Formats: sequence, C-alpha cells, structure tokens
Amino acid sequence: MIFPTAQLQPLFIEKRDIYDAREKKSKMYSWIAFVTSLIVSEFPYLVICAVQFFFCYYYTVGFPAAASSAGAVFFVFFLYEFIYTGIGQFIAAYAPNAVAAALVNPLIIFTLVGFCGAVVPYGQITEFWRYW
Amino acid sequence: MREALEFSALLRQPRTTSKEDKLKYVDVILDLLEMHDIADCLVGTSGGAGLSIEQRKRLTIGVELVAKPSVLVFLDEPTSGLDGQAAFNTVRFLKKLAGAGQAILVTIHQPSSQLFAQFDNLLLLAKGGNTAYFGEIGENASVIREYFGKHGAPCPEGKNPAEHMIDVISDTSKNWNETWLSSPEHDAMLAELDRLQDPANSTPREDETEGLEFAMPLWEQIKIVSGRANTTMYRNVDYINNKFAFHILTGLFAGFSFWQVGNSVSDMQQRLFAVFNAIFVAPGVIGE
Repeated sequence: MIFPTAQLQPLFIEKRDIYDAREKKSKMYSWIAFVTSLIVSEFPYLVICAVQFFFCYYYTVGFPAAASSAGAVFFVFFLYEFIYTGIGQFIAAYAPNAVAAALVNPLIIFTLVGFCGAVVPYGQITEFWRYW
Repeated sequence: MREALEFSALLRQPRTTSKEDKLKYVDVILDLLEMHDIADCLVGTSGGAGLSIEQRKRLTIGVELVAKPSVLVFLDEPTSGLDGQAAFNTVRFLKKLAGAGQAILVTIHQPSSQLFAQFDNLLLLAKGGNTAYFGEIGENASVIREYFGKHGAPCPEGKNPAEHMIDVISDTSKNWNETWLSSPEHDAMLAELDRLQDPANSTPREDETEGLEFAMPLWEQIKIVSGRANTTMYRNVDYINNKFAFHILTGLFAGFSFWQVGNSVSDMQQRLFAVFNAIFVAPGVIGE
C-alpha cells in the first residue's frame, strides 16, 4: 500500500500502539480520553463525506428529487457514515494488528450484506434465520 | 514542536496550575533548551523530514521537563546514538538545567573525557550492581583520579578517566566494592546523605495531587486530547483526500451504473440494487 495510514483501521491501530507504548505508561491521560478523541476527530469529515456521496449518487441514479424522500435518504446515508466508522473502529479496537482487522471485516460486512434483504428477500431466507 | 510541549504541559502539570501559567512555563523551557528558533517546526518522522536526532532528544527532554517534575529527571543514556558534537550539546543542556536547580540522574556508557567532566557526582557500579564509587567527580575528574590513585590504580596522564576506571573495576582480581565500603569517602558520603535526608523526612509532603491517577480531570483530558486528534487529522491530508475521493468515486460509479432508472416494475429491482450498492462505501474506507 502506498499510504500506510490512509485508511481507518491501520490509522486507528497505529495510534493505539503509540498510546499503549507511551502515554498510557506515563499516565498522561486515560484511555477514555484517547478513544473519545479518535471518534470525535472523524466527525467533521464524515459529515462532508455524507454530503459528497449523496450528491454524486442520489441524483445520478435519478431517485425522486422531492425534499421529503431525498431528505430521508440523505439522513440514512448520514447515519450510515457514522455507523460504518463505528463498526470499523470497533473491529480495529479488538484486532491485534491491521491484517487481523482486515480479516474480520468481511465477516461483518457480509453479515450486513447477506441479511439486508437485497440478496435474499425476507420471504425466501432459510427459516432458521427468520427467527432472529 | 511547541504543540508537543504544550500538550505535555497541559496534561501533566497538576490541575491546580492555571492554563496560562502552564503555557508560560512552556516558553521558559523553550528558552532553557535554546529551541525558540525551531519552536514551530514539525517534529516529522524518523528518517524523513523534520527535526534532527539531537533536536529530537532535546525535545523529549523538554516534554518531560514541561511536566514540572518536582524531584528528579531520569535519563537513560541520553547521548547514545548521537555524534560527538550532539552528545556534548545534550550534556551541556543538562548541565544548564542542573544549574537551574533541577536534579538530574543520567546513566551513561563510554563518555568522552570532556563529557565526563561536565557531571557533578558519580555513582560507579561494578559488576552485579555493587557500588564501586559514589561521590564527587571534581574539576577535570581530579577527585576520581585521586581516589583511584590512592587505591593502587592511578590514572595515567592523558588517559580518559572514565575509560580508565571502567578498565580498573573490570579487573576482578581486586574487589572494588569492598575497597569502597572501607574507604573514608564512603563514611563521609553516608553522613552527607543523612544530613540531606533528615530535614526532608521531618517536613510533611504538600502534594495534593498525590494518589490521583492522572494530573488532569477526565473531562479536561478529553478536551485536550480531542483537540490534538483534530489537529493531527486535519494535517493527515492523505487520509482525508482518500476518504473524500472514495466517497465521490463510489457515488458516481453507482450513480452512472444505474443512470436515471425509470418507474416500471423491472426498474424497481434496479432501484433496489442501487440502494444496495450504497452499502459498499464502507469496506473501502474502513480498510484492507
């Protein structure tokens, strides 16, 4: 990879390793402050990303332009930005290194994809899963 | 660089000190370490652009100092890995700090005679951690020379006394620990230590932050650390550009793939997949 810190999880893990080795041992600040800072610092960029994605995507597909439906979809995209970042950081926090995190990602992503209803509609899914 | 010092000062000085005082103290340390001309440099990465190794060492010392350590700074081999000039510079700063009243404890291997002459007191440890000498070094190492001369190992003229004493105590035929214990310098040093210790023990400690895990309350920590994280994030141009580009590209890709779908029944399925496609922003940004 050209930019080793260009993505969410490698960045998170790199920062965490530095924190573990340095600030945690010298008791500079608690892990609560550390984790909060990592989450908060993503926020402004996620908002911008949500707007960018929404405009590039929604109107090119030709979805209804009425504010009532466009706004609702935008809101969902907006939340989605925060949710996937949260999931990504959640996995990264558990993973010992970036490679392990990358191996766990597909599991979570395919669970989301497989059960969201687009691949297999709810009516056709194996009965076992329907109870969940 | 200044940010690194301010960050350390804000978080590690006791909570009773005001913010202005802490930031003022950062300037004091910058002065002391003669770092004003590089105060606004980026620290950079090792091997890349940024501060030199010697400047970095000075910065790490500074980061410790702005925390206002009350008792003592401990430095483990501050000159290792530096060239002669940089090592001498580093020791010169330490000397300056000691002159300002800060107690400094340094471990050192193979100091040059010039470097060695900068220190005030020496605790020489022989094999197994046994004390071989503890006391003054003296002007141009005169006290040490005298001590070793008295005990049958005079330092030859022109030889580095630091090197000489290491050679001497490595010689196992003589037990330098016993020599030290039976010497008059040993008794004098013990008496001196007792003299220093007595008033310190009789006055109660007035450290109200003692027993607290962190110097600052949690909410302050969160504010300061988040502030720093925001700055680093803002400077991580690669990361942000990557994020933005990825969102725009996946958005456009999905958008053009399903370009202007209609309203018929078969189009409904297309619409469903278009929405479905939006999920795939996540894996790209998160990671591999």
